[in-house]
Amino acid sequence: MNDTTVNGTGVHTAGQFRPDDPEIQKDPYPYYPILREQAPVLESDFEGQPCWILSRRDDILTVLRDPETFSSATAPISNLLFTDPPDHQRLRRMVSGMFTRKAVEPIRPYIAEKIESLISAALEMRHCDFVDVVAGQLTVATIARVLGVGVDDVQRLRQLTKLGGEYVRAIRLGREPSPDSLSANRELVGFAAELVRSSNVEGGGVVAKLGESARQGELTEQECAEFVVVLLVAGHTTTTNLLANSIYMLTERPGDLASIRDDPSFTTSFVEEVLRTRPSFHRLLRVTTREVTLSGTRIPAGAVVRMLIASANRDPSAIETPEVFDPYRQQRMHLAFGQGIHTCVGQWLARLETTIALETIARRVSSITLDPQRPPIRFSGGTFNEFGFEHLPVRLEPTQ
Amino acid sequence: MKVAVDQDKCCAAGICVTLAPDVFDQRDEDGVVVLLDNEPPEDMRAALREAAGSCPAMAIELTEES
Repeated sequence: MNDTTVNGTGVHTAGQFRPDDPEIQKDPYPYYPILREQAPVLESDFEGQPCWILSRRDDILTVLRDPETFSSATAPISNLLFTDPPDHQRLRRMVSGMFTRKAVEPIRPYIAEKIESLISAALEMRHCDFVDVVAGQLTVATIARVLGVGVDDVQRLRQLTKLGGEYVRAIRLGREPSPDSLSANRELVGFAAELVRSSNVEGGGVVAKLGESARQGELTEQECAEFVVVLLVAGHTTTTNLLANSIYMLTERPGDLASIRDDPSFTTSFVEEVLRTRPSFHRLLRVTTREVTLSGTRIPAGAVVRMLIASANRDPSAIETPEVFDPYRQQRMHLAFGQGIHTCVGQWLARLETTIALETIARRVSSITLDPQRPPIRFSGGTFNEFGFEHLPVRLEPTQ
Repeated sequence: MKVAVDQDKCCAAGICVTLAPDVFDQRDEDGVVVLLDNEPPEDMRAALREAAGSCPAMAIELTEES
């Protein structure tokens, strides 16, 4: 390959890649092959904070599988995301048993009933914003159910989540958080603390279990509340992206809707292919605890490493024709749920939820098209450079 | 082929259980791997390799019998 690759929007070079440029991040894909080939360890910065950007799958796996060298303590918050062993394992095992494939299965009827009524409402509207009307509603309801809590104001929680993400981003970069994001974070943590206080073990659910752990002194009240915030936030934002990204693919590939209707195994591989090609977030980060060399480049101790997992998912060294969306692929090599000890604890819930939603939609809806009057608005940003849609206005036609 | 698991490393992702449900299970309390069969039949070889290779925590060890 030459120094540059030409695509529809012009010429791209590795040096132009900016991890903090919102315009580039709305469609970063043209840069990934160039980065993998020419600058697999790109020295860059994120809003002034120096970082090294990794784009090759092998390097990213090396990092994710070595928590001793690549620490997750990238923010001064002691929750599941930002802790290392042994704290991380202590926290994770408090909840991991409640998120296994077996453990989430009993929530199936609840999800099925919820999506059924959301689709009925959406069909009545004909034109709707899929994110606001369906995806955001389903994912908040589902994670609330798993946690064993009530969330009355879904839109408020989604607002707070967005601002809370800005708060985490600011303190990670050592900046003063904006007053709005600071108060949103306070409100979120306060809301979570209240959920913990009002939970009881007989009621079941993850929050009650964490509350019990706190009462037994296994974690502080603050840790407990922050734990609940992470589960609540990560439990709906990423799955909202996954569901919206899936629907967007169906607008581009209308034939797949019929395949979902006819073949449950197709639905499974379709969802995995959406995860591979459009993962719900594009980046993960770690900080080095010692000097290390990746793809021939020396990275000093104490350096921030940003991994482009969306690039890893399209690395030709691991997958054939990586740029092609092939919903029949059987290979599950993607890193959409991460890898290593921090692998997404909610991955089986995300799969269950998305599969049930798509199956229900395929049964109830005969066609999904983008609304010609209102183009989709992409969302990228948040704590982990999430990748999905802020708004996805669609037209739904019912099946006969 | 012999299989061993390291419960200390396990992060309870449950991928092994999906690939080889007769060989691996998960504890109810925390989802940590439980080995059901440490010498599975030879026709499981491919599934076991995939399970070991895709374990996020690298907690599955396979050894060829000599």
